[in-house]
Amino acid sequence: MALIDMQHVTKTFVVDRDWLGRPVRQLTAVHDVSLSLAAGETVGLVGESGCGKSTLARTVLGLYPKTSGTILYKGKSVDDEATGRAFRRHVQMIFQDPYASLDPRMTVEDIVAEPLRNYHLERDKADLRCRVTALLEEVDMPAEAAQRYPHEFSGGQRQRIGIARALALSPECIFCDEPISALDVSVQVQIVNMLQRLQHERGLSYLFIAHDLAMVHHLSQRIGVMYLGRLVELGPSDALYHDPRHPYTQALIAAIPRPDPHYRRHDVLAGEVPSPLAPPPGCVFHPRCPYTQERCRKEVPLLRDLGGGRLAACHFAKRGDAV
Amino acid sequence: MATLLDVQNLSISFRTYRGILAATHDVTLHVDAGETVGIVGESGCGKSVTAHAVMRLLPAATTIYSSGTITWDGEAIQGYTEKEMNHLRGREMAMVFQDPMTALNPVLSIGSQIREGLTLHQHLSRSDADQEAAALLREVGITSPERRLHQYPHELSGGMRQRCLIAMALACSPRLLFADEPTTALDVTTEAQVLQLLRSLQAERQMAVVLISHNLGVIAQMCRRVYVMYAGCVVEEGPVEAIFDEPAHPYTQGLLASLPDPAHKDKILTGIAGQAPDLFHMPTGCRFYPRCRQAMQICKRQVPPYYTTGTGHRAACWLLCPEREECAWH
Amino acid sequence: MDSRDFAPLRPQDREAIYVPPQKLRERGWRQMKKNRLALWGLAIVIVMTVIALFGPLFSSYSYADQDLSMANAWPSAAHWFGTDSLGRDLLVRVLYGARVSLSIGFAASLINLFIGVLYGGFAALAGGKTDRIMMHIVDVLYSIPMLLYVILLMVVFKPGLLNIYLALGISYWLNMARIVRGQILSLKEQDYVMAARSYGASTWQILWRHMIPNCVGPIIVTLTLSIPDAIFTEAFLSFIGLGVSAPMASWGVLTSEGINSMRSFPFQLIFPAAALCLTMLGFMFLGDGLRDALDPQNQKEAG
Repeated sequence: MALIDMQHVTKTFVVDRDWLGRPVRQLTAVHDVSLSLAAGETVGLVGESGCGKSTLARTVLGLYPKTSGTILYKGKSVDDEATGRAFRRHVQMIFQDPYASLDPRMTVEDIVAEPLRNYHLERDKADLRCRVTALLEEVDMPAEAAQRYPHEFSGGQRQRIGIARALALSPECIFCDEPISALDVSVQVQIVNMLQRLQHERGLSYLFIAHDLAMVHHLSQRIGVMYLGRLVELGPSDALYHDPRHPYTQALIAAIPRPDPHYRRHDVLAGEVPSPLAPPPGCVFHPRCPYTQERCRKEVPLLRDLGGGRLAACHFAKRGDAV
Repeated sequence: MATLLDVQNLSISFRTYRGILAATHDVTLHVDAGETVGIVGESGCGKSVTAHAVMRLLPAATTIYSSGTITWDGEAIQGYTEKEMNHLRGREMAMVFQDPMTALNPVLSIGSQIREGLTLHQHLSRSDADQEAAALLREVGITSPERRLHQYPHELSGGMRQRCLIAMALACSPRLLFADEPTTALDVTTEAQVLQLLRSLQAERQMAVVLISHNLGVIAQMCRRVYVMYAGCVVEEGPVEAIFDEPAHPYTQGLLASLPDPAHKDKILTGIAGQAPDLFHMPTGCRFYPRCRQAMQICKRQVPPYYTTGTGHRAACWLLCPEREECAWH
Repeated sequence: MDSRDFAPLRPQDREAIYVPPQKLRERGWRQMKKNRLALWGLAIVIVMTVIALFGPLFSSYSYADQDLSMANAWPSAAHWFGTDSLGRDLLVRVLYGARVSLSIGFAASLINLFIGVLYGGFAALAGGKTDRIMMHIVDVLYSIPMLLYVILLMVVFKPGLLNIYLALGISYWLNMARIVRGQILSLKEQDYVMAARSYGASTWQILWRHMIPNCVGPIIVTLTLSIPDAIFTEAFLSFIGLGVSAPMASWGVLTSEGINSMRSFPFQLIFPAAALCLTMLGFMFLGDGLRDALDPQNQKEAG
């Protein structure tokens, strides 16, 4: 049984209302996404900015009310109150911007202790202090950091503080919303290695959201690719990276700047992501796709099983699990 | 090939509330006509400051030029008046900035912003400038340029805006283009488009490009020669193949070891421990020694000189010191 | 150079630079201490308040005692600031004026604090339609000039201090409501508020732990800067005859009276005007200093 099972999750934002407050324009940020996460598994979610990957995570966590769909936690719907409470406690989040996600007026101790206080898990002051020290130690921060303020730390250290805060409630799963994209390359590795160590030690699951496909591939067992709010491809990490089936995934992987001066790049994907306010009919990728045919303009491709645990939302994606 | 830009021992610091901030230390680099040179390093390493110093875009009141010379086309330009610099900035060198949203003025149309450079430096009439601007937009791959001239920055996407910035920079056919993190704010597929555009423009116009980036992939794909900067110093420089295939400085090695290798998914990344030094409290000696796994006693005391390696590039590291071999330690 | 130079560096050789932790409040205070003008402002405000409260107690005169034989006396040992045309001691009247002016200033700040902060905060937190309607009300009130309120109130009540309090009460919290609303709206979008929700903080906890502490800076600054504004408004209203009534004194009344005899007895204008200017400057400097000290953006720069 999956730890978290998202079924047909859709999130629509109202962009404009008329004078009576009725919605005029709507933006579908997440469109019918189904994704599951097993215990101890890392699922990567990639896509370009505005593709809905962060919105999906926030919607699943209940930070935005979902428009439709079901979220199951250990097989039970989180709409049920008791399950929902357990779900919110055991699924935590790490945010992208290490500068904005920590309250500048709180000490590190207060920041890390806040989840514990919210759930009244501390016995007394000394116990709280002790737990905070242990959490900081777990993310390789010295105990004396507890009395300092976030602005005294570098981006990487702040992200560690954010991770310590997420660990405070001993979660089963952490949603990592672009946790490394604001950091320097050498610090990214430190955070990624630490996330892997924590996963190993605590048996955590991760939903790892990023736009750096190479790093997602390194970290995840499975990868989902999103485009314009839709999940267009999902599959085991190695298979998806080395043999992408959806033309968008192919383009995304081809576009990664390789740190190898001998590598010569293939064709560059033309055009730009259309506005999510007016997504194209049929397959949303068809205006940019090099293989577009008549069918793509009319018929919406469904996420098809290609075998080998692979799924792609393309009429012409080839089947089979050969790598 | 003729040397276009020559920077020698440039040291720059800034006066701030907290004290003196050391931005660059003894930066030496040169750019030949028509070549693409990369400057790579993490945030705060001084790569942008160097470029801004050459174009004299740093705030005059708080910037201290402690040492060094900047030579453009054989002429020292540090003594230039502001008027002479303006002339140089528009027609000889230009810059493309990182954030295409803030680098464009939101209340002016694209056309008038491109025209500005054309009328200022080339004294074109309004209609000629309009035609020229449309031609520039076409050159940077913008469709229906006549219509775009009347649009405002917020009506364009990020990639489109970056193309407009490039068009503005090209307006007076500069001989050197600084591209300061031109694709950092863009998505991967748009980044690929803009890099391809820069590459083709460079080839067509025979213009020198200095590409500043933190992304090793971008540098590897674009440049012929590379300068690696750390904490205000150039730690390694040389042809791109040499730097990527056989990095000599432990910092460069660490940077490359920070990138995941798609062929070996489960290999643990080594990376670099610790964090970049506080620019207000630079370590003595080699600035990288606190993070260096191979640090030696001398690294803490003395700044390493440049040594030439077997593959013909230079690195500032005591590990390459010939005497190290001679002093048989063991 | 010898072989020892190339020996590996031991871990203990890698010095770490230790910077002691600092309290945010201490940092703000240190910032203030560096700002000379702000300290002068603070000193002026404190001295003025103390003098206004206790000064009249040490004087043998009262603000209403007339002594026509001593009318228009120049400053002397008996009357340090001289006397006015009715022979009242000017020093005591200036001190009483300080009471009126400062009390108006502090009343304005209390109104700001209670009505403005609560109104703005509630509108921002409620959001949606409630927010829109509440802010439209503010817009409407904003569009009516202050003078009009005072004149309208004069029709209802007789001229006096009460009118000024009421007029300030109606109009002075508007600005604060806007500022607090803007602040809370931007805080609502902050990642750390989102983060707090993600680990189970209730709305009340978010308000108490994150919103209010992060609003305090702008609120204090606005308060400090609104005090001289209110004092000046009172002086202006009294000056044009809409303020406190005789024999009560306020700085506005005193300067107004002083103007009449400016040629022959300039001290009657100079002393109250100087007191007014000094207090205004004091609050302004203090407000500017607080703005610099409480701005987190600024704190990032300064160490």
